[in-house]
Amino acid sequence: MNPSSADPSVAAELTRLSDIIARLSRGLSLADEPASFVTVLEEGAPGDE
Amino acid sequence: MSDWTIESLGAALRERRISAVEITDECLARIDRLDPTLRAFITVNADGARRAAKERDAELAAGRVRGPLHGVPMAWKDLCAAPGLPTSCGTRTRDYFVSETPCTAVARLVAAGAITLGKTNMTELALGPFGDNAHHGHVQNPWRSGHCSGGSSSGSGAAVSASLALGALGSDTGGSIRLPAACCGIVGLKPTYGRVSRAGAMALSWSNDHLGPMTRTVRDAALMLGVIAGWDSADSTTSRRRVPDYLAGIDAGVRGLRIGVPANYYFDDVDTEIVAAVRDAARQLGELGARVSEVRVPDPGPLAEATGVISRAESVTIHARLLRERPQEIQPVVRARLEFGLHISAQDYLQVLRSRGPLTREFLRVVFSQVDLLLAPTIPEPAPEIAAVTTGKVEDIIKRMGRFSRLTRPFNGLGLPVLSLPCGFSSRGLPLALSIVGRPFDEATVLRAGQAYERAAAWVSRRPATG
Repeated sequence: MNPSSADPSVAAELTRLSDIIARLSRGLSLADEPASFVTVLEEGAPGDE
Repeated sequence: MSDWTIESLGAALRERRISAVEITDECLARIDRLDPTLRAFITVNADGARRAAKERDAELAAGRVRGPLHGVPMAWKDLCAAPGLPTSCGTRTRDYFVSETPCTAVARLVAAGAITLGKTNMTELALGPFGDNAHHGHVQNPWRSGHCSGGSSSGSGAAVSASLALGALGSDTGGSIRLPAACCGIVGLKPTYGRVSRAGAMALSWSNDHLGPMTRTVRDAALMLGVIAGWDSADSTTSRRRVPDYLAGIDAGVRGLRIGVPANYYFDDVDTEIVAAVRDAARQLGELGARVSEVRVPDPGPLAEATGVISRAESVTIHARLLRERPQEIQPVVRARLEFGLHISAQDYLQVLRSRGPLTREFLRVVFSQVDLLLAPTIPEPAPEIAAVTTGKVEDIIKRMGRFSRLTRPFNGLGLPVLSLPCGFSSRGLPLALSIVGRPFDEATVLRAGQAYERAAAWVSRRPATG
């Protein structure tokens, strides 16, 4: 996370969010790129077409 | 006026029982009378609407019907570009957003016969869930003046609720269709990400933005969605999947449908009247034949936070020039939320985007292997008083904003279709609302369940006492 904010409350919030993101992205491999999100959704849609 | 729906009015217009000019004049008269208090509109297109109404009537007289919205007066959130009208996006700048092409959703609605009444008020830059706006006036809740309309599509919610317009377009980046729909006692649909083009609408966050209908009834939402959904060459995120006839199976009922009520997150710290109303709705759906059960969902909390990180990073990128050149024109809370985005690192932003696909796949696998739909509250409390959410320290207001949208934000991150509709009233007479969540691109099932509940519960017959 960018530590540039001098405001302590902003810095604390940035750290909190950075920790959440680190947990969410655990398990990502080197091969994982940002997916085409619509493709992800289309894969999960009911199979009517 | 207040008894019409888009569907019933459309039929009456086609059968020449009422003219487009008559209904348009009636809407404009209501706007003249009620909007100085409600503040639902930023721009009223009186001359343009009357001109279009005459044209639609002439077409009907010649036997030409453009589509299901022929002659129906509607309104667009003031971030949708519409020919000849300014697009302020709720800022002080009259023409803040200029687009080379008109908003695709507006163009499709107008091509289907809708009449543009005007552009609706909104939270500045769509950055807030309460509907307050110091530049254009705080939008009042039609059910109780002095209370929030919900935001950011605040004017669209109030305009439909108070029968100033038959339907409206809203946009939803963290709940901005569903929150005002819930607060104003109307129906709001956030479609699947990729179902409706955002071309010609101001972006707040490309990854989380959705456009969708705000209407009085579920059938009207289905009707509007059928017009605006579908692939658009001007928005590369739109899907080429076929657009079904959303009204075709809408009355099929819920017998056999598996409806899950979340066992975690969605009822935590939620107002007791809302909890009771949503649980009663689940009971009613069970009586209608649905198989209702509790389901544990992957924790939406971190996902809601991550969705916010994406929105902050993208919104400051989109509105950097305004922030750099005219920061004094932006309301303090909106400016603080924009400025926060400056501190988000590229690494965190990209990690969230990388995580989104796997998190969504996991949510779909866990939830939709057990149920067909989820049922949850839309808002954690009935519409709060405007004074309570606009006064105090900026950081406290921002925290309260986060709490108010915490039930809606996860579904922007997940991109799933969500319908919000009324499920009762609080002891103070404010609307309560539930959300029905479906599989990607399965708006048809979401609407079918919403229609079954709306018909059984009959909250739709209640109207605010706006006169």
